[in-house]
Amino acid sequence: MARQILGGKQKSEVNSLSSVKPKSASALTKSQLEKILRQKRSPTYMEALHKLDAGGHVCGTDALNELLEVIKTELDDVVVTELLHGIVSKCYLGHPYEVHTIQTLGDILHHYKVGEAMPAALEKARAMAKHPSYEFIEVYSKYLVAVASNGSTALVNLEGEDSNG
Amino acid sequence: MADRVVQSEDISDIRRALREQGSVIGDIVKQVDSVDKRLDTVHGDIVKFRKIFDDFLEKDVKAKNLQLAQTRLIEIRQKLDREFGFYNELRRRATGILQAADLSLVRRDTIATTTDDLMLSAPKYWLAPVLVAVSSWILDNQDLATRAVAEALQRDDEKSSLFFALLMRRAKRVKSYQVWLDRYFGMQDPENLDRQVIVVLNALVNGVFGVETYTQCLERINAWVQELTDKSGYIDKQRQRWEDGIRSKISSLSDGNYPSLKQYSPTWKKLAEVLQEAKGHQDIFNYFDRVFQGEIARATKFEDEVDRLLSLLASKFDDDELPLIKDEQLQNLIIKYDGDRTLADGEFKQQKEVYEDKISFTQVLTNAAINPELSEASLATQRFAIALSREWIISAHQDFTAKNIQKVPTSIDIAIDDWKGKSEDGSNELQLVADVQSHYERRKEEDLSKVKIKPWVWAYLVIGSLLFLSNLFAKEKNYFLMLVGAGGGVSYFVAKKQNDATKLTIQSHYDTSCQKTQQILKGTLAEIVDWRRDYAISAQKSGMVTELLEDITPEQYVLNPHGSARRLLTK
Repeated sequence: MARQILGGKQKSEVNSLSSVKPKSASALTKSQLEKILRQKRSPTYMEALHKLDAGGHVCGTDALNELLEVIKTELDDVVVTELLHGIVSKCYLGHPYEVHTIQTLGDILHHYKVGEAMPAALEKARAMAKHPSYEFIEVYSKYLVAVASNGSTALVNLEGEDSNG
Repeated sequence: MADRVVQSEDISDIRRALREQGSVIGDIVKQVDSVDKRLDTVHGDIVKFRKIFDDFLEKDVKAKNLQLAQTRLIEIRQKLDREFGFYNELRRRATGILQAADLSLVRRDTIATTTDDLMLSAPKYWLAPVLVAVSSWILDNQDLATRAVAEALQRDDEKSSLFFALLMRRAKRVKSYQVWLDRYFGMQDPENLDRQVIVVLNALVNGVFGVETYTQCLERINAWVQELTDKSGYIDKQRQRWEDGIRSKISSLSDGNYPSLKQYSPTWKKLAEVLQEAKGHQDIFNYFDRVFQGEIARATKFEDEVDRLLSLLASKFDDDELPLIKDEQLQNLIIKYDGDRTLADGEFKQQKEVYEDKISFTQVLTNAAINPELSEASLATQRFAIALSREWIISAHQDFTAKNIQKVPTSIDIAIDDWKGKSEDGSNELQLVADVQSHYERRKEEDLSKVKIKPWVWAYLVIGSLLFLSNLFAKEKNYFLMLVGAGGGVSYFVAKKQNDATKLTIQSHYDTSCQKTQQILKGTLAEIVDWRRDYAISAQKSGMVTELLEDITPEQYVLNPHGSARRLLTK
């Protein structure tokens, strides 16, 4: 079939991502999941995470729950609940504190000192979290998402690259 | 029992024998040391020989690969000439006829005869009827022109339509070239394009088309990009393609740096990989920066510009020749890398997509940006392709940067001799130097503890002492037994002397080894400090690439049409 000629426009048959509302993260294809994870983070989300440092060493349960709600609103609820292990970022409390983590399971906020061991899943993000290019690192079961101060994201597939699908 | 008189000569013989025994033991120890040293030398020689042998094998394989590639290249070129040589004749004549007609220097009969001959010599080739149509048009023979056009479209609709579009553009027949171009675009599927689409891009960005067509083409291209972007998984493939593309611009790490880390750190492979990638930011920046430097040279005459495109379309995109051209490029790369197949195959893998007969539009853009010479993209097209793919390149580069940072080892392993340690940034030097000291002290103590006087020497000393003393205080002395008893003392002192010498050797050996290891360690730690600094400086340059790419917009890199004094699109 001949296609539309100069200047013509064709309607895409592909559904936009926002129309896809999976009930489970496993229902998402790799491509859909990566598209969700790559979304640029909003200023509200960035601001909510910045408050962690302003809050000092102790963070109240309410504040933490509020933060987790912001995260769930920002990202896909299902993805956050099922795949997000936690968020690792630079700690500005000063020496000896190096990074802090928010773990979604049990709503735990923890500040780690230099050399102090972190849970294995989050340890992978430690070097990246300390890097000046990134504000924080979201740790998922198979991905690390590095978020820069302007909300832009970079994705690291922890299982290595393979065909997309 | 009768007294026995022992002659003094007998005693001196025994003393001499014992002294000799002592020196024999000393000689044996020296010989064992000497054998040990020789074994070390032999081991070193074997390692050297192995390296020489491996180098020889590598050189031999490379020499054979090189020879084979040179032979193969000749064969391929002969085959190309044999099977497709007559195509070249047609290709040369395509623009030759037009230029001759422009200048009115060739007789009409000659043009007609020439194209008739070409038609007969290339029974299946699309360009032959195209040239007949061109000559008929010049000679004003409408009937023949119509039949020739029909035949050309039957043989290769896309190439013929594009050829006629450019031809009509050359003749400045606006409506005609728009009809042909519409026909060409109507056949295109952005997921499966023929390689000659690059000719359209070259024409577009070099300002060959008129304002209206060129705006419509840009809209069409944007629609293609949008259509591909909306397809599930497509953008991920494109991002990966760009990541592979930018990786191909990274140069290898110079060999001379960090010799101690290379030799004494088991982490070196990873360190080298991440440093090479981090230094790659500068290479990537240089690559894109170079592309956007300087003015683009364009033909002074509009006709020459179009002729260049017609010639390109006629010469470079015939699929029949593609397998041979692909093979020719591989042989060229093997020759370029002096027979090193790994390097040649690596570069060929990066270029492979250029030789695919059907490619997506986004792939066309990547090929034009990364391999412009092979994909026949002009410098202007290369700039346009990069500008149009800017978002993908930035995203691919951000992924590349994040992967690189994630791979940086937190602690660096060091292994010197049989001592092992770790350092993050070289700041734990005092601790590691002390650890080396205690490591060698421990080993020294272990070895020293093994140097003991043998039980039989002790037994002989005790029994000999008893014999000697009992006879010394006896009324009737047995000098023979006294002498035997004294032998125990002599053996003990000889053995002790030997042990002291061995202990001194052990102490000296470990002290020297310890000092040597500490020296190497300090050198390695200094290199760790340098490495961390080098990495940090190199990694910071990732921002330069993003800044450079963010400043580019496609509209900036489309040239004004020939003869147009105004800028069509502004930033």
